[in-house]
Amino acid sequence: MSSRKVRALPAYPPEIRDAILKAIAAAPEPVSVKDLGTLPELGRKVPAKHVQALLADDVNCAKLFQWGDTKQPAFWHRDPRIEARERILEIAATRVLTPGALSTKAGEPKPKLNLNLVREVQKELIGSALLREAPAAPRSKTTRLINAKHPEVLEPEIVGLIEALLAKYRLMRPPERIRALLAMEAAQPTHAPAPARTDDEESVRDAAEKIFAAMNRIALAPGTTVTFYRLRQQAELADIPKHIFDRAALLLQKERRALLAVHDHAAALSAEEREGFVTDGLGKYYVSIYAR
Amino acid sequence: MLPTVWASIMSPFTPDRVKPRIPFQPNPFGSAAFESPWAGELTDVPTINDQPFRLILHALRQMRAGAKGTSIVLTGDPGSGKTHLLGRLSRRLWQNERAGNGASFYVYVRCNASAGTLWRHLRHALASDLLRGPEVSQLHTAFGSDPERLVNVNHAGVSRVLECLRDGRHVHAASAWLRGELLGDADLAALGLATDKEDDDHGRERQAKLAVDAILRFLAPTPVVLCFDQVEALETYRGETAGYHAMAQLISALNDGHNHLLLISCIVSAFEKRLDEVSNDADKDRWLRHKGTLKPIDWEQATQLVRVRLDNASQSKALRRAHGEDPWWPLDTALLQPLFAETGLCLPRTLIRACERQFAELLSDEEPATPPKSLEAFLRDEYSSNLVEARRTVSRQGISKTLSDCLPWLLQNSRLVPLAPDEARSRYAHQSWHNASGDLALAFCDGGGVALTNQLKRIDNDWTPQSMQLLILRDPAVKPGEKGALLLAGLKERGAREVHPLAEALAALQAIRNLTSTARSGELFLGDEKVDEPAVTNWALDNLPPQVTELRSALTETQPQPALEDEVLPRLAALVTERKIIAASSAAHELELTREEVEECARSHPMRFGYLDGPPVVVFEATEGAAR
Repeated sequence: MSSRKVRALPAYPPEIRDAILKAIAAAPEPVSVKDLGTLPELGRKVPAKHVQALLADDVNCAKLFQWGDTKQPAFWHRDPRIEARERILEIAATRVLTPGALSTKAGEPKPKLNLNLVREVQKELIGSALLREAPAAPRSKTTRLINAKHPEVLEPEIVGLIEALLAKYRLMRPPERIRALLAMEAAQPTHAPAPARTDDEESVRDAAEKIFAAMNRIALAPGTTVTFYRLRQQAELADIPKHIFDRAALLLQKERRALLAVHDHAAALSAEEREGFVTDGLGKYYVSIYAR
Repeated sequence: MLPTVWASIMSPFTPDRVKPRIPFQPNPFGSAAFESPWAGELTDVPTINDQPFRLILHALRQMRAGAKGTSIVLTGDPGSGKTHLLGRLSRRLWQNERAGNGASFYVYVRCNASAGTLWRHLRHALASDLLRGPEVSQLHTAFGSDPERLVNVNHAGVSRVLECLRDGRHVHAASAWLRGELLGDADLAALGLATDKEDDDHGRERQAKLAVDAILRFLAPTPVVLCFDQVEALETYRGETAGYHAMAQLISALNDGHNHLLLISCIVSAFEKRLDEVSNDADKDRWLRHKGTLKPIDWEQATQLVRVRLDNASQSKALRRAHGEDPWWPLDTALLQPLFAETGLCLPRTLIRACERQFAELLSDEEPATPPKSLEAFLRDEYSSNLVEARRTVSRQGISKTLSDCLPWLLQNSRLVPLAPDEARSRYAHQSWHNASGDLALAFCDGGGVALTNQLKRIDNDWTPQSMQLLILRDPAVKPGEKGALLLAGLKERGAREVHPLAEALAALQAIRNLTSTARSGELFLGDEKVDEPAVTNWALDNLPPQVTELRSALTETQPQPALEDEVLPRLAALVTERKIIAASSAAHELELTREEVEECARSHPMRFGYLDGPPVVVFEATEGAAR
């Protein structure tokens, strides 16, 4: 027999929770529990602790996400981890920063992100090679981070260093020539390091939006499945490279805008047939997509 | 519903939770897969898959208001509740009828058929379901609601048989005829029907279509809900698409011919692409007129589902009352939450299976836990239980439908390649395949007497030995008439071969077909592990029963049969089928053979005949027990 201590929550009518959920879904930013508890639609004041308890199920099954900190919790429909990931990658695509500076920059804009969470996500991005280390800046010992898909962010710095090195030997070269040299090197795959992938987060996101729009347009009814076979026949999606298309479809599921229907034993199908499915690259294949 | 014991329930880091013990009782999560809408009580949570259900009800209301019937396709992952939804629908229709909110007929068709047998399959399901019902048979209700319905029937056979059923005359024979089962001449005469002269599959399909049309006319204008479940089971082997095209034609024909039909087709999402590939756009549009998708459930729906199931556990009711505020008690939610981690949603069956496992762990059971079955042992047991039903199916539906539905699996997995359909060839052959030694045409002969003679005549007219090898598959126990025997002998002289599939081989193929279809639909589980179709296929190929191996060899090897065997085997088989047991000397006397010829034939076919060394030597019919 269980020996749990039961502390009962006062019985709230279901409309209270529904009104809170509606307010969160419509909010442009996280809403504090205090504000949620005093929503005019509730018709009464709901203590912060009770608001948290009412939303616990939704948080547990990841329909909602907790923002803020333990002292001032807030709720929103957007996952803070995804937000952190996007902010870090966006900043690291345009600036070369130390890990500390990068996580601070990513956490600062409103709605603010918990710094520990940002650091955690940053570590994951380094682990999955989406962030890459760059040498420390002059007069510093701390290595810095860049978005691995945007190595060009280092170009002004490298150009400056080469210029300075050449000047030391009294060789004057305009920056344009140095840039041209770097561009030429990049164009020669034999000398270049691992070729950088042409796709980037932006094109994946762009493809995701196109898939989402096409899916909603051609679905026989809202929320019904659309096969990738049919989606691929849409003019705006036909030319998207497969790896971008697949990542875009997976992104829609990750962001909980859509669900993907899995094929149970795609491994037994021909490679040609599998090619028509979306894959996560880890052995899972998906055949169709539908709005949540 | 809101759990109230947040700290202890919600945190996965709960320190040393004491597991409750509950009295031994049936596991309320024991039936994760809902096998058939007719199968017993339904534990239901109406909010789950409410949207597709409302789509169906809306279509039905439209029909009742005078609109034409329509077609709805339901897609969903395995375990999302498609069959369950059809069960909910059958219950709702029955409740509506009892409450006086409109009558309707409900028919459930599990689509384990093939392109060439679909109408016969529908006829069987339609007739079977009309002959049953929640209280009295639906047919009885039909007669009760409108005794004049028979006037609408434009098919003499259907009309005669329905009259018999209404009046309670020759009920068994009439029911069997309505289902499309083969009847003897005496039964047909008793029903006042002529002997069946249809000699080929096309003819039988045509007949089945006419019978289905007539039955549906009889039921009009009351709405008829035809539920086609597991449409993906139409693939006789993985990747075969002919069944989907035939299904689209069938839906289209039903939709065009009748105004009172609501056609619901359920297909596993993984196979939805096959619908996109149906080449006839008009048929496809009629089939995919409306669509609903069954979605995984969220935490709130999960809570309702678990609460309903747990509330059904009679022997823990008092304990649950003591934990009245916790709908999950005695389950530990912390162990179930990871199921929702990836998308915030979970398939109902996945949740039920996890709950089943947890509940089993909490039961006070003194018995030591049985060790888990190996995949091999599991598939062997599943096959055996399928075999029992398959034997009944084969004896009911006959050799031709069984071979049409099941043989492609064997041949495709024996590296034979199906040939593209050809009209000239289809006049005499049911299937045609290419193997290493050339092209093979297969003709399946079901009936005897006139039907067999007609079929042999057609083969004789249309087949040329130069075009391809011909194999005639038939039951040796069915004796051809005088003319038929001459035609058969003539065909064999021209190079045709006769193959006699054993009843046990047909039953084994049917059982394998059922097993692979179940796996394809994602319904086959060994504990928590889903057993997929390739695993079943591999196991079945590694464990083919000797009767099936014999059939495969007969079909794929080109050696002609020994002349003696060719002559003696069918005659001895017919005699032993009739007598069951006979002394070899008596058999020799009756067949005008020597005793040695009879003994030699019986000894060489141990799967066909039982043989008791004498004196006197006795030959008897091999039962499945003796054959195995």
